[in-house]
Amino acid sequence: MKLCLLTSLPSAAMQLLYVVQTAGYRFSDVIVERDPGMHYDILEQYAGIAGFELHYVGDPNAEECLQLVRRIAPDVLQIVTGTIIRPPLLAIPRIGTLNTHAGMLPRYRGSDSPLWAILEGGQLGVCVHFVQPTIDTGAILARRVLHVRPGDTIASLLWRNHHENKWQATVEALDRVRAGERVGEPQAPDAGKQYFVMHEKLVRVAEEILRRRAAEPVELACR
Amino acid sequence: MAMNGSPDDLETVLRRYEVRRVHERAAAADAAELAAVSRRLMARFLADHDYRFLNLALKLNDALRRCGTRAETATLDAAEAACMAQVRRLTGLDHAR
Repeated sequence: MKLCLLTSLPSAAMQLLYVVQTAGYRFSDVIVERDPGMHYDILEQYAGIAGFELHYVGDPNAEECLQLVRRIAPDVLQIVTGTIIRPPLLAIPRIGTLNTHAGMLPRYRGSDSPLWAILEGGQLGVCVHFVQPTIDTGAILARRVLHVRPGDTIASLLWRNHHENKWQATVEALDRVRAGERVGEPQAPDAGKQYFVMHEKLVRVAEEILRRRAAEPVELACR
Repeated sequence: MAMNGSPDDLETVLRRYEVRRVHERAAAADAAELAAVSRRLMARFLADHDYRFLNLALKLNDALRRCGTRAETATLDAAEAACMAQVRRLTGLDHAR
């Protein structure tokens, strides 16, 4: 199974590459959306060690990138980027394009999913899904729930969700694809809501909810 | 922005304003319109407890405090305070419902 990674976040890409490598997966190519303000030295060093080809592009939806991905001809394109990927790119990978969303789908689509889940008493976690043109609506391949512990803060929850859940769920999704899964669990389009960046006043409420939980350790109710 | 007043119309407003980050580009000339939208968003939150509408209203209120008139922001401040009190009740931070 030929794997290609498209990323705008070199540090997150490094973590993903390392975790999947320990699970026996190797990405043949890594495509970086180049940002003049970022450094890629470590990723370039790791390319030599892990043996993947490193490519740089400007806009991942531009013809330059489409041609590159056609040349690579991946079975699976994994994305780690905030850029919305357009249908021409999504059509290239033989099996599909995967995204690892830091929230439980279908309920929490869009931005700041963990914060919204804290505020609403919902479940935290990650979901790996096939990418569709509409945001976070593709069929789900893997999900991992994050349980809130007494004493957790927003920072600790985000850290654990990222480091203990996100790439591990990605491995589980790759396992399913390697085993022949091509469909996943469909999401009903109207099953969830799209959330946006949370205002700081609501973030402070979420922080207070966690502080209160630390004082009164009970499970967050899932509405 | 013209609105027809239906509940789904506010969902459209929510997406359009958030995606375009209207609150980041608000100018004094937009103040009356944005204040009207914010009041509708806060009323929607109080009616159905969907935090996303309050979230956008909070962003618009910040923009209006930067560029709006004192009269507009005073009424919004009171409405926002009522909404935040409701948030605390809904989340169990304040117990009286």
